[in-house]
Amino acid sequence: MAIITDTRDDIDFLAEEFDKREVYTLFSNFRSMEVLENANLVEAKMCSSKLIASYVFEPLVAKFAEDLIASAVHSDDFDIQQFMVLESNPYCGESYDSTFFDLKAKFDGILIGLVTWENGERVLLKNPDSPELIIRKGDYLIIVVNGSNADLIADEFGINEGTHSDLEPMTREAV
Amino acid sequence: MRQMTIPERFLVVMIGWDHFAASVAGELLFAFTQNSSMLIVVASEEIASSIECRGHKAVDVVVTSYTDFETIEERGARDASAVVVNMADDREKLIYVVNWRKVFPNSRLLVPIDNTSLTKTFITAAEVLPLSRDEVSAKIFASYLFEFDVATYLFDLLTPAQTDDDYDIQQHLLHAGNGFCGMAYSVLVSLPRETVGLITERLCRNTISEQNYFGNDCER
Repeated sequence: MAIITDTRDDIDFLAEEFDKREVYTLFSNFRSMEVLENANLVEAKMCSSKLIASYVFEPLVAKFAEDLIASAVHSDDFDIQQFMVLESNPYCGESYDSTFFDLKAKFDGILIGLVTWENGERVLLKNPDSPELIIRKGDYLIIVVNGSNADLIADEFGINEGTHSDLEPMTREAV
Repeated sequence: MRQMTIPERFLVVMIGWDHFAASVAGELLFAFTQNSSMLIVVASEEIASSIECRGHKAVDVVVTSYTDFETIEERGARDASAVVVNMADDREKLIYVVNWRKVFPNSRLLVPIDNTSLTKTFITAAEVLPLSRDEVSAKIFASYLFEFDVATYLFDLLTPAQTDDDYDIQQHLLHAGNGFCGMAYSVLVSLPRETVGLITERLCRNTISEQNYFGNDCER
């Protein structure tokens, strides 16, 4: 983990509290927009204002969105997770549409998107509706899961949630 | 958010103004329809002059003490659809919302807070919805680290859909006579996807005293 701080005391505190091999500290002006943009912090901060605005208009949507942002722990918690498709994944080679219905029926998960690779570019397909779309190895399936079914899906897929950049087709041929 | 049915008159009251309030106002104004308006209450003319959206036809800025409830009420605050309390520190916000409740007991209060440990205090003291800015930001940021594509998608879902490529989560009230009314949830999940490419994510059912959220349960 890397921690950016503009306070000298933080550096000392972090050095005392954490193993230097696990936590790297960087003394820098993190309020600089350039640094924030590089770290995706601007978008992260904007999400709070978007959520408040959503609560104003559609409180139930906002409540659900807040739940989706947090990690799912219990069966009534929801979360969005991405799972890489390995060759051994039972949905590898299947159509997106049939996978959508099967994941819902089997795991009560909702498939909402797919990350694939087109001409060497990473492409996020949100709720794609093409009946010809086939799931390939190296793709990511983006699924709304709950605290109960997330582990079951991970077991079925043979891989934990999250990005696996070392296994992505653009960085390694054999997935 | 953009296309939802908004009541005949939709007023949002913003108490206090800073960079965060400006961001929230920007999101709201983007989603506003003709019958929507925003009342911004600030304590000084200097702050009022810094409000970039002041010239927007839906925006009304009033310079007065935050506790001048009489003036605030004259501007329609009693019938406000939502009130966003955005002062400098949490303690000031807490005292304010308790006093606000005494004058406007039925308001829906939203309070961005800094100290997450005060969440329950806000709910207990004034039945407000506290939302930790830092907590939300931290969760999204963590998501960017571990699940880059999920974070990108989430950011889109939180933003009102503008183009055909954008996605948005919306809530729709089912009136009697709606084609989906009386249908099993499991059928409801599959039908919109097959017919119009939508995904039904969750169901909420209102009761007299509370709102029950039914999770994504295919057996129901």
